Amino acid sequence: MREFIDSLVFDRACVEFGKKIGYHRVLFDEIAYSEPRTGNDLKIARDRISFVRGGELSLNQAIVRKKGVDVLLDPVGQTKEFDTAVGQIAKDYDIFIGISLRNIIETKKAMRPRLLANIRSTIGICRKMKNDLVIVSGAKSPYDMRAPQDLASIGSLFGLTNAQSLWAISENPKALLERMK
Amino acid sequence: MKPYPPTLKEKKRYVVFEIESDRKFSKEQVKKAVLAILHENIGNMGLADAEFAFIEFDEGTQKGILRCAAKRLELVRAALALLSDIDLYKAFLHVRTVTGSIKKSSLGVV
Repeated sequence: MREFIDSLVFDRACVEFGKKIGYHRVLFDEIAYSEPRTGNDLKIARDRISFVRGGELSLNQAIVRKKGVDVLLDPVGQTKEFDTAVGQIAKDYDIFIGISLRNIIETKKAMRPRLLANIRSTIGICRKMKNDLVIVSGAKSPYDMRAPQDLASIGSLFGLTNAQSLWAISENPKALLERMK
Repeated sequence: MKPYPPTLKEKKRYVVFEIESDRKFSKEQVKKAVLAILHENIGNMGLADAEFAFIEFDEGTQKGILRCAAKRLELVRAALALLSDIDLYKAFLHVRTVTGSIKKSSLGVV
């Protein structure tokens, strides 16, 4: 049986709630999240799984070149800031690409179609470059969380098969956890 | 006209869901919110294609049933996952089970 893991939440209450809605494990203490504005602001916590939120192309390039980064989270927003070069470097340095549900929900409704299109294109590049993907909720409260199968169905919006989406919320987070040991 | 044999009919799926929130909502509130989020994300054509129907909602248990075409189940689920509030109160729709017959889905609600 698959063990579903939500790799990124920002509230301790989500850990217990996650188990109620079907997760085997919810990572809260094990993660270090940073949101740098430029490549110079990058600070990496070595003892935890480091999620770094992307942004502009130059920032994404700096993140995937930085040693110790585990996941490049949300590399695209309203503009397409992820290309095959970034994907290739991420693959070479064994960096996962993360997609968070919170990023989609928090985006204003008028802006959402463009964001979804950009995420779809990013996932297309990730599939081409064989990057590892993780889908996370990024919940700030229990009500921002979604059940594993619902989170996996988000992946299907972006061209992933159901099996690939489930892999992105079970086996890939497990690989991240094993890397921490 | 001769009716389609069962093998040619479109397969349906019944989605048993539960509203997770710190307050209770009426059937009308939930129906309105669900239809709004589906319209917003998959549109009228998508809803027609998915053969969507809001079957029932139990206000006591906050559980309900939706129907959609089996082929469009993932799309409908993804759109429902984007529901983040009902009447400005934080809530989300948790899909409990998906069944192939309404009889089995009713067991999950009552």
